[in-house]
Amino acid sequence: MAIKKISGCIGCGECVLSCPTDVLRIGDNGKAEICWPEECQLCHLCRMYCPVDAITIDPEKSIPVIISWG
Amino acid sequence: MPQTPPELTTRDFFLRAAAVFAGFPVLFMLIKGVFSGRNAYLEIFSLITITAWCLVPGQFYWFPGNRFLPLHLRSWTLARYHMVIGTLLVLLLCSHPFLLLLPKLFEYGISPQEAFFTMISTPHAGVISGIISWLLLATLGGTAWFRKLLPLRYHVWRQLHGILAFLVLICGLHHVLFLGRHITPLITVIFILFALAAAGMMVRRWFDIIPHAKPGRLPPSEGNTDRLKKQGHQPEKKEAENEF
Repeated sequence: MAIKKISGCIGCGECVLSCPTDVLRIGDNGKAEICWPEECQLCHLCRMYCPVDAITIDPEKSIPVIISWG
Repeated sequence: MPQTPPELTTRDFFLRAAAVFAGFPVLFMLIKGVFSGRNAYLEIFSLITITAWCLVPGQFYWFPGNRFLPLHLRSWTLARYHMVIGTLLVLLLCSHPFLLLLPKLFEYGISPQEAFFTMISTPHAGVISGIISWLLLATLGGTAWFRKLLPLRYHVWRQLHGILAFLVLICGLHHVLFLGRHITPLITVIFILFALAAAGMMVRRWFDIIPHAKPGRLPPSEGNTDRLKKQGHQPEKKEAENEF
């Protein structure tokens, strides 16, 4: 599980849309929740697309973000 | 034998006020762990924002209408303290939604403009109360800075200032409790107590629910005569004895 915690979520759903493996879903409380943690591929897209930086990726389990240059 | 209130210098007052209103959140954040995995900028930014929010109830205490503090401090010192802290708070709290987006300029992913639009267009209770409190805070700051340009008498403006501050407190508290990142049950209780104390002080001042002790001049003890000595004035002992 790479997502350490979600705090300060405003429930915009950007992380849900950006996650390629459906790890995150909007819960009953209107905020993002981790549904399938084992599916996380450490792509960091949820963190990068969160407008309020609510998602914290565990630095111990994280790997550098791979960015293509062309 | 009349009891004299404790003497307080401006420096003492500043340190005590900072310890009470800003010291608590820093303490609890340190207990909880300030650096919880996000980058240092966001954590320091959170710490400053929380400290600023905690000083908001304090503004209800150190304002010139307080009848207790002028016993210890000059009214002008108190008013200046209120103005300086208030200006800092308005600037910090009004800029915090934008400062939150600053790292987006240097990261891949969502752009700052898009993030801002997404943020303000999300129909979340905490976001709505945040927008309302931002508008109220900006109005509060604007009407305070440009008070002399407004076609209002001072007493009317003071009422308006108080009402706006009260609304900022309520909406801001809702926003903090719903969207605060470092909110724990203990911090929630502290914030609510701070807000209740601030509201209580304001209601007490407005309606005179609890009778105040009328302020009187302090006897010329050593601490209180410091500023008089600096001005080259020596109070006479007989005058002080006659007052009490």
